[in-house]
Amino acid sequence: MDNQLRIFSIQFFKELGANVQDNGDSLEITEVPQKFQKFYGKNEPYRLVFDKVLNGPGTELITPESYLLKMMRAYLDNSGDAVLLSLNYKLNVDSFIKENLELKNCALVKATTVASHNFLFKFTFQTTYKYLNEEEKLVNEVYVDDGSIIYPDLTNFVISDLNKKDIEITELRDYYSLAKEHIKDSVNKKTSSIADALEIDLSKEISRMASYYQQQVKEIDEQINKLNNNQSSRSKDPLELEKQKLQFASERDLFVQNEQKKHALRLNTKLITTTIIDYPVYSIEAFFKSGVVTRLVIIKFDPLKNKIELPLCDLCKNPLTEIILCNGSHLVCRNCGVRCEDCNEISCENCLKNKCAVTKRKICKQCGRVCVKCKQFKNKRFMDADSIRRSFICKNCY
Amino acid sequence: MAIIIDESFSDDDFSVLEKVEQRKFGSVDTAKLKIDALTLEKNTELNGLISYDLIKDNLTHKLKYQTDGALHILREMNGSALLADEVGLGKTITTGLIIKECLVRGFVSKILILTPPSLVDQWVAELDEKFNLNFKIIESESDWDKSDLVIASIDKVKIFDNNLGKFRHEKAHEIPWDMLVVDEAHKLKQRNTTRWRFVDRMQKKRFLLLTATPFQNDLLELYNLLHLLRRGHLGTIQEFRQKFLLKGNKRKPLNPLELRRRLQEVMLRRKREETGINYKKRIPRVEVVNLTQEEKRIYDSICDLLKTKYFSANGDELRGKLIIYAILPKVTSSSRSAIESLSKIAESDKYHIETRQRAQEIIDAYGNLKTDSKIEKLIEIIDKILKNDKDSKILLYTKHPTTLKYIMEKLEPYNLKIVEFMGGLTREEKTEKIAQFKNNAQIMLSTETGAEGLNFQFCNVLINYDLPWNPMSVEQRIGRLDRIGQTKDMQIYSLATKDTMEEHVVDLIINKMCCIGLVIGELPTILFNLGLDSPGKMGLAKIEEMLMDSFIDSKNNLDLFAKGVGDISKLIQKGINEYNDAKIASSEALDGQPAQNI
Repeated sequence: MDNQLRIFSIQFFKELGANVQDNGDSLEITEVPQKFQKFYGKNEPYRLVFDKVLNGPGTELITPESYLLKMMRAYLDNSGDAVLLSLNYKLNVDSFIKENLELKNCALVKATTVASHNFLFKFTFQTTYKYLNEEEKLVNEVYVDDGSIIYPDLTNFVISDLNKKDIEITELRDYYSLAKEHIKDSVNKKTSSIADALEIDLSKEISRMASYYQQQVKEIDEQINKLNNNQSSRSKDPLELEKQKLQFASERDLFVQNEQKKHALRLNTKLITTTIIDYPVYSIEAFFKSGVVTRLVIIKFDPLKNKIELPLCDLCKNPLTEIILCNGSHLVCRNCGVRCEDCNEISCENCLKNKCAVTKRKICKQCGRVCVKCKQFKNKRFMDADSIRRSFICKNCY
Repeated sequence: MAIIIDESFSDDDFSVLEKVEQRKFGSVDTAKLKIDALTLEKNTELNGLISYDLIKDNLTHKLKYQTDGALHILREMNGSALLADEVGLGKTITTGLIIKECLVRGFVSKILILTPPSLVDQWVAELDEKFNLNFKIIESESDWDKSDLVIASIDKVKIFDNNLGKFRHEKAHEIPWDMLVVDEAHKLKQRNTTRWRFVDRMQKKRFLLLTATPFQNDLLELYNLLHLLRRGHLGTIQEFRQKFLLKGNKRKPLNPLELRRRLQEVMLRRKREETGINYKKRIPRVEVVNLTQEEKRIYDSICDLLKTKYFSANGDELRGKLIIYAILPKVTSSSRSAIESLSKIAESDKYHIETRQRAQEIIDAYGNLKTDSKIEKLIEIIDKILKNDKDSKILLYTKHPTTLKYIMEKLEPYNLKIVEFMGGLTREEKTEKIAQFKNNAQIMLSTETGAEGLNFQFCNVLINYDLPWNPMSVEQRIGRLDRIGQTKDMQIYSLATKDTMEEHVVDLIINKMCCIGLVIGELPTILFNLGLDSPGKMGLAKIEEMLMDSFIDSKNNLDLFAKGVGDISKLIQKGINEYNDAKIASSEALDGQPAQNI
């Protein structure tokens, strides 16, 4: 913690433009802008120490509870509350394809990427709980993307400032409302636990008061009884005593109310920073070749959500984790791929609809042709090519 | 009973959203710093006083028991307690630490301090100088809304208007105070007083009662005080009587250990011996000035003029106390200030011709004087002090700038290193003068206004060249030396002219009030208890006015004046005795051991 505080202090004063000299045990801060000196209420130089043992006259001890840290935080209150960031992701297309798709009967010929830009909204809230003489603070971040709360992992991204003003943020207020509702739910657990502890304390106080006023009334009742039975030598008016009882009741109510107010839990949630984060969504165009067939496949990748839109089987429309190109240039899955009974190459149901009229076997478009004369589909082996008319004629018709 | 939960979203949220909509983006580094700060800053527990760093340089002494006490009251008692430290331990500082911490942490915004009239200004000054807190004084009913941090004289605001059937300052009851502080709270010992009812009616979340003597004669006083602080803490009066009151002895608890255990829950009390602070004695040295026959004649003539021949131009007798008071101290301070005042009379046509002639005659007589016995006595005292210890530092006081200049002139031939200290100096000039006195000079010659609120604990000799008739002013003078850090017993020299009223006044104020072994802070309490700390009818301190009355009523008869002073002395002694009784009673009941008597 000490180290974090030290790093923070150095960064803070450097950001202010002050001179920070690291003396090992302490930091000597000079050339502090007047604005901060006035804000803090103390003139420079500041000698910051991070260990209680080193604290003495002329030093400022920085701890999580220290006043200077509080003032540094407060000084930042009105800055950095709107930030525009960019998430940069390094995509190696070849490796990406290899990692996500198994190339069964083809090879990658070429792959290019096109990135489109989306915006992620981050709302940073601080919730402050105040009760009795305690104060607790919670910092919560809520990410909203495309109208939903998400929990992204940003560790694979390089974050940088984005200098772009023409961003589309029409949903900002809606997303803020969504984040606000989410925060309410998140703080409920903490609120309940503090309220439970306070309730125990309040109950003690109220029970003390209740027993006090109960006893008071009891004592008055005893006096009234004595008066009624002529046992008391004091000449008190029973009506006056009854009036006193009523006064005690209203006094009790007042004190109970005061005690309730004392034990009230105040929690305030404040939006500290809104960060608009630009992030890429990739469209990868990959060309695969199998034999003489080449096919363009488009894969979509959202690195923020780690979401990959894989290509679909041309036939059953299921996503593919392996690339199988049929010799009719269709993209097929294992279930939809069928082998030609003649050449044994992968084909698909669309391309393997016809049977050879001679052998009655299902053969692919590469192995069979339609005779121009008898119009029957036959294996090429039973045909002769008419090189002039670029057509086939079966041996029966020849 | 359910807890009140007040849940809110900050109104500032929209300003943040607007910045985004207006594309006013800041740097990512600043935003990161901001989030880092929020994450690093933890105020989950009250482990220390976060405001202490901010004010520690303003405190002359860093006393651990004061910070510990403030933390204890905040953490263990939720800011509501009877702070019953013995006198001299700095209850004001401890309270200031609590207030500052609560303000810095944002626990409180509206604070009221109720004090005896004579301490209002002192509270304002201490909170300003030591805690950078700007408290406003409640002067009238319309002042309550003017500030969140206010101080009021309890005697002034507690007044109940019987005709209207309400408190004159009932506005105070409408405000929900985050913190209420009542100084010298032992005055709240009776439940049937307007003072008690005024305080009881306040809406307060945190409540501090300050007194070194929570009770005096009767343990019921303690009950009443705690009843105010925490209803039912000691049960009903009947229960309290049965459990804690010994029949036939109102001051000794029946069940002392149980009472102390209960008190510890709501009371913080430390004794001086626990704190290791070594208090030094004030040793009174009244130096009698024997006037020459000529001087005595002049003195008598002045008294005669003021009491019997003081007339306005139209022949009306001028006996207004204020007029006499304005002249009397000056003419008794020094020959120079006497001549100055008498010249004004002699030269003004507002006065009757005979009065003016008499004044001129006295001025002429001064001109013929060959000696000034008072200044000679002063030189003799200084010589004696420096011979005894050449390194002595002497704080020499006079009320009047004219006398100050006169003394400076008279001391010039003696090659003494003297620092002159008067009102109107800037803070830097004051610091420079104090440093000169501390490091190079032998004497600091000062007026009250010059040295107000300053610390001279490195000096242990004080000379009152003239003496204010207000004991609190004298107490303030001595208070400059009598502070934590004083390492020697203090020598309090006071010049008293023999066979004059001054002799009696010095005896009363020095020997019977300011140098009788009281610790700093006790005299104001005694005067407050006697009802003598608030201003009198003429707006001056009540004791001062009582002395003035005696002077006027004595018609230049010293014996009559001495009798008047004697009566005041008896009254003061009564107050001291009662205060002593209270100290003993409080100490026996609260600490289980006898207190040191005066």
